[in-house]
Amino acid sequence: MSSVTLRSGLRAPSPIAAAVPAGIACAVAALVLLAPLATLALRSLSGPDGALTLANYGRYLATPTLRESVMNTGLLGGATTLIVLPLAFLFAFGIERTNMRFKGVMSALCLFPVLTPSLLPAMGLVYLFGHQGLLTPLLGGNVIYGAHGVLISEIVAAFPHAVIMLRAALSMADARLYEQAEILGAGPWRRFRAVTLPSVRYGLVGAGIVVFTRAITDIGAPAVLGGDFGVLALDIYKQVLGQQNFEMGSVVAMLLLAPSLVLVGVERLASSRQAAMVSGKSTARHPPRHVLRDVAFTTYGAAVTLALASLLLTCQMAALARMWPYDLSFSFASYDLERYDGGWRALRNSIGLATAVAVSGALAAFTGAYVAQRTRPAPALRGLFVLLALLPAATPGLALGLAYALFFGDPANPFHLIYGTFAILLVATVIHFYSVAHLTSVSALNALDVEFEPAAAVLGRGALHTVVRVIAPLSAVPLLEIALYLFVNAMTTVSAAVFLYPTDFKLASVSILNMDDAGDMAPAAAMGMMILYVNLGVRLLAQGAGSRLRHAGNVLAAPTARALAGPASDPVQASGAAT
Amino acid sequence: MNPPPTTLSIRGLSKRFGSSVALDDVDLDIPGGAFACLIGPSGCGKTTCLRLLAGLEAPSSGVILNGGRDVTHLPPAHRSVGMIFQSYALFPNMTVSDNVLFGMKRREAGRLRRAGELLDLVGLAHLAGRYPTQLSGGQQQRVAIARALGAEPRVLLLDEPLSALDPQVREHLRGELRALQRRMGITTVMVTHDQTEALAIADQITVLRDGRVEQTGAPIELYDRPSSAFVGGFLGAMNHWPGRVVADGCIGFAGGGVLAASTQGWTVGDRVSVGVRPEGLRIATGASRSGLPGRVVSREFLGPVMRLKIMLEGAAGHALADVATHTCIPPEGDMIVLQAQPAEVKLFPDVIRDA
Repeated sequence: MSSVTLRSGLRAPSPIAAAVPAGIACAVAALVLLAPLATLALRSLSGPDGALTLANYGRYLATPTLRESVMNTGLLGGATTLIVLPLAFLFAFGIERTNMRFKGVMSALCLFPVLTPSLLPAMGLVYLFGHQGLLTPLLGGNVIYGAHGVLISEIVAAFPHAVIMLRAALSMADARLYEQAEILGAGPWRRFRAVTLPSVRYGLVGAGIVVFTRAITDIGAPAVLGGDFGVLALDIYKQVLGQQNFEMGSVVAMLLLAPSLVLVGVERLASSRQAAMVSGKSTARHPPRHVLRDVAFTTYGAAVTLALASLLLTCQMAALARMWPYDLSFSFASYDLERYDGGWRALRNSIGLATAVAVSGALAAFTGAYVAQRTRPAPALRGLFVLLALLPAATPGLALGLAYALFFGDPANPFHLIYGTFAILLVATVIHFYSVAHLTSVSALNALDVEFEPAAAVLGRGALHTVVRVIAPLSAVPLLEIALYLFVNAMTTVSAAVFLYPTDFKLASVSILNMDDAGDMAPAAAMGMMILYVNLGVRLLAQGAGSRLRHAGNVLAAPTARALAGPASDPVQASGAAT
Repeated sequence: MNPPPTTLSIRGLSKRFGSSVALDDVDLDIPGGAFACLIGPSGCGKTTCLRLLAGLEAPSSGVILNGGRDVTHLPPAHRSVGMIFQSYALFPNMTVSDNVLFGMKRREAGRLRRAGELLDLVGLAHLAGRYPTQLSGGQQQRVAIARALGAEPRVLLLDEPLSALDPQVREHLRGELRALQRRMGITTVMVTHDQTEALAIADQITVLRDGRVEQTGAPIELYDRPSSAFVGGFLGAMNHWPGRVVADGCIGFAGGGVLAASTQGWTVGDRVSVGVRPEGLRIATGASRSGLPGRVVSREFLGPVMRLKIMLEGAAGHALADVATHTCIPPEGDMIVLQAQPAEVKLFPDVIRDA
């Protein structure tokens, strides 16, 4: 029956046959996502004798330093969000709504933190304001370590993500509304309050949630700058890798998972409303000339760009200096990575993993989205799959990594054989970033005529033939964007991988954490910059290929990823809540 | 190249989606080579019916016969049907000729030659290398037709193929569509919600309402002898008034007006729904004449005719009446009397939907 279904496309098959692809998708999702997370939850509840108990949570809350981590994490997330949102809004507003100069250069440079592990800006801060920082003397005896350092670092890391989402929201201006408001006599301030703010309200909510989630789940900045400033993400790491206390690690992971789940749920709600706010008839708005405003925004943008770029530039200079900051003479010594954790092989491994993640993840996400959007599964089954596809966005990488370690690490698990291999790293990384890839695929597929499959079926062509000849070629550009997004994130991620990488397969991003831990900051910076350059190179290649694809023949340039960030962004940049 | 035309028959066809009934016990015969239209308001089941014919949906019950062969449970590819979709569903990543080749088997000998012939047939041979987005709406439609004919279908199914076009292009294309269908002699079923289009193009029209066949027949038959007030109102404009058979051959109205009509099959005292088309009404001036008295409230210039809106006496409702443009037309506010030939006055049992 199912073979008939495949051959005849959308011919109404029996409900059972229609449920097959979606059923398989749900089963796979249950295996690679639900089961590990359930294992994590159970582990956090398991006592010494194996009975279910809340004792672990009780013990956690009874430990003052751990309790403090909860506070710290909440404060860090809140403060980062409150500071990043206005900063990013001003920058995004400058780019989308004013005639600010150097828009291209500034927006490109500001995106660099997206292409690096979050440790890199943190190390830049250390090089400038740490114990031996270049500019530390200016601080009058203060150093960057501690809460304020972590906060600044999180601000830097989250800023571009917020900018991407807010630009998306601001780019959707409907010029007709502004013209109407002007005709009705509304001044600039009134227009801002009555038209601009309402139209970006959901974008602001979404960006705020993504920033908050990133800040509370990040491990890089607290590891480099935290000092005795404990946060949940670092606690998971310490409990599991430091003390081998999996129960306590699971408790912390659950504490981190809970707010993410709630917030990402809210964010999805917000972004679906946002999409509904702009009608297809909206007309583009071109900002009017306004010298004072444009100069002000250009100045602000330049200051922000300079600050961000200088952090990365510092890292590069430090990596090339003989002994930062005492001997700034040029040396390639830090690039002799073989002497350190992982070595150049770690970079090659990372590129290999990122390539595998990009290819298999793009295929998996596209297949999943195709099943959900175009095979007409039963609504309940479809709803379940969509929910499962969005769950990774709400799962902090550390929680996912730990869940995988617990689930697949159990020798009784029939899938145990992938534990400690490249395969588990691949699966975990794909799942970690699956949601954005899924949403991008969904919007690409929804842009295609729903009558393609029935038309092919009447012409005697089955679903597979239609996918290969029509659906996939028409989705080439979004597929490429998804692959690029997955590549960049697989290169930079630390969180999920840190519990999973095989001992003989070190990753570049993890080796930065280890080198920094061991006090080898310069080679860590060198490695970090190498990741940036690899990502930059791949990104440029993909952009070139993408524009050639768009122009080649008449392949429709399917609308770029709307994903978590909403319209006018691409998923490479919109890494959403996944950390 | 043209296969002999086949008769398409539907017996007791029903389709339920969950608890809602999209198509309810439909019987229909479409003679070989005929151009049939399925028409009705949205949600009447016409598109469902077409998708059942194509094999894109499976019926809940009933039988579909194509040339006497039971195709009810065959997949679309084995039914000898071609289908043109509302959006044409041309694959934008393929050239015109690749689109036409899409349904032909790779091993099929002479497929390139046949694709060329089909493009010749629709007059697009010179655009074979273009992409669909580089074509006009009408050209796209012709590509879709050529692609559908590539599978040598015995039946052609058209799902509102003209609805995506400008009104002027639409009128031109429906003529072309009709001419092409005649030339091919292929049995054709078109779904539309545009009654003008159906009247202009079809050999046979089937009016669907709530999943049931309201009436099937030639366009002129349906226009002149609608079986219900619904059909009368759906195909062309029609005035509907509630009335009562007051005497043999005479209908009385609430405001005191009377019209002569054939009351065969009715008995005196029956309540009826009276239908008269605007062009069937004549305007008489002078209060003493018999008919439906009323006052002209507005005039609408439609080109060949002026359409008058008349408020009937005694709050009996409105009437629309067409008067040839270059005749004497009563101004707004004038009292007039509406009259009609008995043959123009139709009596229906069903409730008036639109007055």
